[in-house]
Amino acid sequence: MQGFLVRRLVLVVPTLFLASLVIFAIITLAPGDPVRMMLGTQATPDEVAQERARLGLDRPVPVRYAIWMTHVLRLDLGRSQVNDQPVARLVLQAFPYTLRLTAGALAVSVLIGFAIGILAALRQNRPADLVFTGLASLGLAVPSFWLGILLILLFSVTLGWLPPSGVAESGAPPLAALRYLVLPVVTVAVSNLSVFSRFVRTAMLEVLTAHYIRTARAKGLGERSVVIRHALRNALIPVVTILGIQFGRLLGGALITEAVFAYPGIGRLVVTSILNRDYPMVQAALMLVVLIFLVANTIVDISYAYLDPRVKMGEAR
Amino acid sequence: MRGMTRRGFIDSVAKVTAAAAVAAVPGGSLRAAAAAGPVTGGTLNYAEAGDFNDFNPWGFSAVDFEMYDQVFSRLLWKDGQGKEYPDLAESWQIASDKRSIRLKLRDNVKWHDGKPFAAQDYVTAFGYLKDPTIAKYYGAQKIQGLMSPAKEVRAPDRLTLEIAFDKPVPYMTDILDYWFAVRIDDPSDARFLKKVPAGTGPFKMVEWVPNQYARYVRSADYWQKGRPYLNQFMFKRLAQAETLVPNLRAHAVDDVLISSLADVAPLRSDKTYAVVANENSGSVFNLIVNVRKPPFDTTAVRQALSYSLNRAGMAQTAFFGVSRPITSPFYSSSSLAYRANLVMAHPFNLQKASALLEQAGVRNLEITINTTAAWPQMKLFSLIWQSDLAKIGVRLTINEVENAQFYDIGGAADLRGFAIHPWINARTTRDPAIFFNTQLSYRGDEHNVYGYRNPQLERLLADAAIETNVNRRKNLYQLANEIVVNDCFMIQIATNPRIWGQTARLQDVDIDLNGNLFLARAWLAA
Repeated sequence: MQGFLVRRLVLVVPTLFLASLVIFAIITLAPGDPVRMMLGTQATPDEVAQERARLGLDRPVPVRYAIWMTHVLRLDLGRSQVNDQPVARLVLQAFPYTLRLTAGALAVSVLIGFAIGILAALRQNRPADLVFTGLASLGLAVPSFWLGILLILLFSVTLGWLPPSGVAESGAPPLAALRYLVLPVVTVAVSNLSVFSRFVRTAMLEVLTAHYIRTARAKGLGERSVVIRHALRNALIPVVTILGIQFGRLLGGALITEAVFAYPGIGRLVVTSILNRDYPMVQAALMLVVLIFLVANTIVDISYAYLDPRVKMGEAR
Repeated sequence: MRGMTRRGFIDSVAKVTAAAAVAAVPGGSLRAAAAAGPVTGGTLNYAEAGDFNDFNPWGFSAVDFEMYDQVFSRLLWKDGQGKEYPDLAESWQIASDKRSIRLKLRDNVKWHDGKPFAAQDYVTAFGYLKDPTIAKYYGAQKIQGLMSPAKEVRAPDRLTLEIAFDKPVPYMTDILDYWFAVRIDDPSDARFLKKVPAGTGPFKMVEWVPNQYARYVRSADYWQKGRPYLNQFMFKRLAQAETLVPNLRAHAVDDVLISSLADVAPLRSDKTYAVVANENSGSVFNLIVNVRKPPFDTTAVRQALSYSLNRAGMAQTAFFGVSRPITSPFYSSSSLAYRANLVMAHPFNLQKASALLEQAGVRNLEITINTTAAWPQMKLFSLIWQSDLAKIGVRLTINEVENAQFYDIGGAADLRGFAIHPWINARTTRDPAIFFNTQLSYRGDEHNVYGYRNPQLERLLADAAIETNVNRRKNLYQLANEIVVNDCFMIQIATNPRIWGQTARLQDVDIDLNGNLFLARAWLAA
């Protein structure tokens, strides 16, 4: 187990290095100039040139990468080129918000997605299955940006039940704070619960036709026991793998959703920074997303090995 | 006007606006509230897309505009018609040769940190322009550009300020309208991003949470006693412009800056909201022409483009009726350069456009235009133009590019190889000297990176800038205006008013000549 963990952690380092190269190259080579974005349409070429020099943007790209990497290795993520705030502080402030949103969305996706998937499998090709499968396809097809605005129009503008944006002020009661989380969580969860429900349905259908299920039924076990203790447990194995990937997808979904709801997490930070070409900010935030993704996948690999004794740690690479 | 105090002015304006508001505000209770007069207290929740990047008004950064007048003051300020009103200066005298100005400052003005404000603060501020650290700040460079004719700023006593220029500056009050009183205690933080700034305006900035909001509370020491009426101004930042109006309608905010003109009509039809469209900033939608790129180096070809623009149709459809079609940047009759026949000098005429192209020997012309979703109007007017150009054999390709790429193309001297680029310029309502000194794409010398050269235009601008006779000055600028319109190196499309959607409860919001909100006498009806 220890050897497995060490191997996985060692692999994280070159992956992060490669990710840093790709992220730096994409953001730097993308057309657009952060100074132009900041100074607007009326800035003179002289003003732009001076500001570029001040920010070090007039240096060659490899030099800028080397400088950035050197600072990162010293745990100095630099300052935002747009608002001059320390990048590390902004990222650390935003991260708990994103974690809350992602965890909430994951919980909702798993709970509802699993329930729908199991029900659809148990009612295969019956009206309930068709309705659930249809809704799952719809959930996957709806863009989160559009869904977010639709939810704002319905629940905030028309019904006035939930706040349309932002977060509760610090010190607000937990219930009040939770109200701000409902719409973003639902928006992120919708497409993910659709994915979960489809995977659970497929896995359950496969397991329900297995010999040991037939044997369990032949032994006279109740349907509930067959489904929960025998079928679901085994169906979980492939689904857990999907959990890791979906966690990354949830983070991706949160990027857009946070922007729609003006939710102050990593997603909003990334979107705003990309639009402003705020290089240090984008690089740091995306590196964090990559790191989270790697950690999540490592955790999934470990749990996969635990869930399926046939998989040995040494083989789960 | 000199004899009138700012308080006097504001009181008289308040009476007039209150009467107008009573007539205009929908709903009996709001009418009654407006008639009853200002209510003290409350929080104005205001929202815009984006985030703050500069709290120093010298930076004149568009995403921060609406906080400037709340936190900072000027020596004097100008309203939408260009009329001057006292602010930190009670009165002033301009020398007959227009080479100096003497200002009498208001007593008992305090900075938000409690320090007394004095004339010496302006002398110190002028010294910032020579500070090696502060001078690198683009805001200081902007003020340096505006103050370049100034040779000395003196404070003979605590409440007297004298500014001397090395040549006649007939537009000196326009310069002073830009020159906010700021105190840069930390030269490495000229943008006030590390520590909230201290100003002398009606609201004191107390908190900034990046990507979320900035909070401003009523300044008890504001020189206008009893003002501001509002207790607090909350400036919220939303990430997506599309969510601004839904937030207004959900009552999460009271006032938003509208970027999608499609939102205007629905808000106007709802009596609980008011729509304020304001052209004070003098912002215009236009087209930059790459005059180095044949055949656009030919005036006839550029004029053909101008005649092929159905500006009136565009104003109605692409701009939803809130903008005015224009061919001259000087569309406001209050501008010295204004001439009525130039405002729409090139009416839509495809036959004439076609004839001009033929005269220039141009056939099968192909143009690519890059628009951005940040200004949806650009794509809309381009679509109308595309359809009209097709009728005279010109093929227009429209690319919608990301905002950063849009700026990248517009900021490049060669427009990255493109011939035409939609753009926005401002300050057309300012004194033309300010306009031509800041909007360099309208110049005819090396200041203009897009390549247009015209020594005659430059001579007119040089003469007009120091001409002390108003009529002669007016004549010179009108001739410059004529060159701008006829040479079509910058082709005007329509005005670009700033549009706010606000709750009908919000009363008495002033808008200055920069097109910025001034909330000293704003209040929220119950």
